[in-house]
Amino acid sequence: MKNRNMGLLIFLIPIGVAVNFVGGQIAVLLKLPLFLDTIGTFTIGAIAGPFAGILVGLLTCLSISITNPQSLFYVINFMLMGLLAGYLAKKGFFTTVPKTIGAGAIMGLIVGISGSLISYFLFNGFGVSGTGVLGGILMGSGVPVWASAFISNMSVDIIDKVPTALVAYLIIRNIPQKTFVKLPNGNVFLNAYKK
Amino acid sequence: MSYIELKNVSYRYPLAETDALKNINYAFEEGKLYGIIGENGGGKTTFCDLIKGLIPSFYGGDLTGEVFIKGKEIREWESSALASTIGYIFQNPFTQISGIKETVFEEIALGLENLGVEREEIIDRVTSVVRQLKIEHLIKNNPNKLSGGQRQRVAFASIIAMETDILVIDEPTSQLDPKGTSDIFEIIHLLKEQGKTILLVEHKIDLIAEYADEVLVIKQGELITNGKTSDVFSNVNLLNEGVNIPQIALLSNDMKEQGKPFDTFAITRSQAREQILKKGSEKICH
Amino acid sequence: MMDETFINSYRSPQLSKNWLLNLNPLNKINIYIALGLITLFFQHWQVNVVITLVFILLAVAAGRFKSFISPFLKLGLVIGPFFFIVRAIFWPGENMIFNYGIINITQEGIDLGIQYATIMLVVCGILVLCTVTIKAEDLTYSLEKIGVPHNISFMILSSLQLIIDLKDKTNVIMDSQRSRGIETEGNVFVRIKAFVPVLSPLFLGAISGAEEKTIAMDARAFSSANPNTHLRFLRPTPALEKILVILVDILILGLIILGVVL
Ligand SMILES: Nc1ncnc2c1ncn2[C@@H]1O[C@H](COP(=O)(O)OP(=O)(O)OP(=O)(O)O)[C@@H](O)[C@H]1O
Ligand SMILES: [Mg+2]
Repeated sequence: MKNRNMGLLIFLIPIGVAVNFVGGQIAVLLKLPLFLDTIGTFTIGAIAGPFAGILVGLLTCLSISITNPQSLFYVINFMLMGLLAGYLAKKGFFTTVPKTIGAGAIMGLIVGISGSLISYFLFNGFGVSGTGVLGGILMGSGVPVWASAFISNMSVDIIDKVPTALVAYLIIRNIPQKTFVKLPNGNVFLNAYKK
Repeated sequence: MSYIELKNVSYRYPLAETDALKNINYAFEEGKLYGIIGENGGGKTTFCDLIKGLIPSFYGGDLTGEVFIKGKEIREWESSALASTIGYIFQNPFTQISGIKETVFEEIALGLENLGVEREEIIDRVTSVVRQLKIEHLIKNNPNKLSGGQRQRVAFASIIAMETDILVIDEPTSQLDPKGTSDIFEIIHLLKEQGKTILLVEHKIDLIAEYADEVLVIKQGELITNGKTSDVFSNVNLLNEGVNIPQIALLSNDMKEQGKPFDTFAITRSQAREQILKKGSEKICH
Repeated sequence: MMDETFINSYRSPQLSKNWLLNLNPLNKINIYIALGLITLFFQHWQVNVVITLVFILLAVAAGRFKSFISPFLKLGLVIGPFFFIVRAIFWPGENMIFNYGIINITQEGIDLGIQYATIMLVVCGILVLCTVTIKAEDLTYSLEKIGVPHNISFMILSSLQLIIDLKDKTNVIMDSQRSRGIETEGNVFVRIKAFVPVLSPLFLGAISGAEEKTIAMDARAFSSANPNTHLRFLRPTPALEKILVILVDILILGLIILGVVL
């Protein structure tokens, strides 16, 4: 008989999407100075692998665009995060706090670079949210456009993605073993927690 | 040939240190309602998952022995063929609703759509299930906005629409109030009358006494007792095995110990009433 | 009482009285995006405004003006001015109009700002128009008709429902945390500490629910290899509609070529 765990992935992906929304919403309700709106992508990507992560990112981007049309142009970024979470988790990055911080920083860096490129080529270097104002202030102070785009996007991404990765880590630590055995990246976590 | 047969079945979950099912042998017959009881963590749900074909395909782990459904080994069944042979309903009303349909009518139709049934037949089958379960008033509602009891009835309807011969039902009422519970048992009664083969896990022991033809008692993964419902419950020692026994069965037992046994060992209220009325009238005649 | 009219409604395609709403969802998207693409080739803000007006007219034609205009204005009035202002006051240009500290208003900045602000109006128009003229289940139906697997439909529809469900649960948990005296106000660190206890039960609960849902949907033949059928269905696209869409596409292509040549 066919393996049914493919089914489980199909049901986890929408959860990742919804958690991205809810995380962002709670961050707003608690007036946190962070977005925390990619926790679902990080977590599901980490436990269910790059492919699931990419889908979470894609679907999140599409549904968030309804209320936040600018996001649509950053769809690559949304998917990149899922891909990276899945890949880094496979390499054991989400198994300890220091490694998780490392994963967050790497992801913030890469996503920051790709975000700046998008902002640079599509939006004259201005990010589409607070980063746009930050970039603008830099430009206004005489910093070249490309540098403003990079500095504003990267700093914001790294500041946001490290805590996001940590929250994902806390969630993953509390996922029961019986769930891990059914997940693509599950073995990584089972082996890590055994020790 | 038995309908469902287990031969020397043992099963261990991945990473577990002991077997969740230990060397189980049993043959189920067509058209009967089997009550499965036993203490918490005994392995009842595992047993149901096994028959539903989820072990080992979904859970992984080590399965030894053989499970035959209608003569075919469980590992050889296609999952969609199994879905149209065995229906499965469990306790949580919230996870059994798909969450992708806008009306209860469409929700009940989902399984038939997946099987590729033609539209007219879907409409007929859904309509007839809706009638049987008396949920006409719900068909236009959004399934995601129903109460727990309503959702559980829709879950039953969705499975019944698939017209499976076998139904595995695991604690269907543990999250429902008394009204919800009696609605569900009305449905189970109906299914039994239609000649379905039913495996029912239920902690409300009086309901098992009333509905089950046979009872299986599972403790720590072993099938420790089985037999006709009245025979199983006439053995009061079961109390020591962490199994509840219907109050009426205890009463019958008390009568026996008092030297005034009922003619037949009563386990439900109506049986007891019959016996008591009979005894009463005998006295009057004397 | 069984509602026979309701049941009969599944026997015929889902249709409304409005011709625009009755277009195949993919054709709608095709038309909206084709219109939107014009902006990229003309680079005149006036063109962008005209296209925005066309979207508003389409909303009127669909009988959805009311549901369109409020989200459109809410989005447009935030995003448009935002795109304008950051460019107008920060973009480094030659023709200085006003300069004070980091504020640096130039003619180039203003032109760029107007250009981008109006493009974003068009983007908002497309998205809002999609949400008010296309039902998610109709979209997934037509995607399946062109060969997208129904797993993808499930993921899309399920995501939309779960967003609603989890948001509701969030509010419940936030309230109960507050009433249990867990601080959700106070300084940043207090608030950060409140984040995980709110999110984590939601998330973990949903994950364990996903396992049960897998089992429940398995019992509903979810993994069946048979091609699935559809109870609820849309009409096959009429020839006239196909011609209309092709004409619109050709017309727009023509306009775009014109724009490039000009
Ligand atoms: N997915 C799983 N992975 C590992 N062990 C499991 C899993 N599910 C159940 N078990 C273990 O298997 C044993 C049998 O559990 P099972 O759920 O079948 O019992 P049950 O009789 O249904 O209990 P209850 O009355 O509480 O529903 C228990 O020891 C349980 O901890
Ligand atoms: Mg159980």
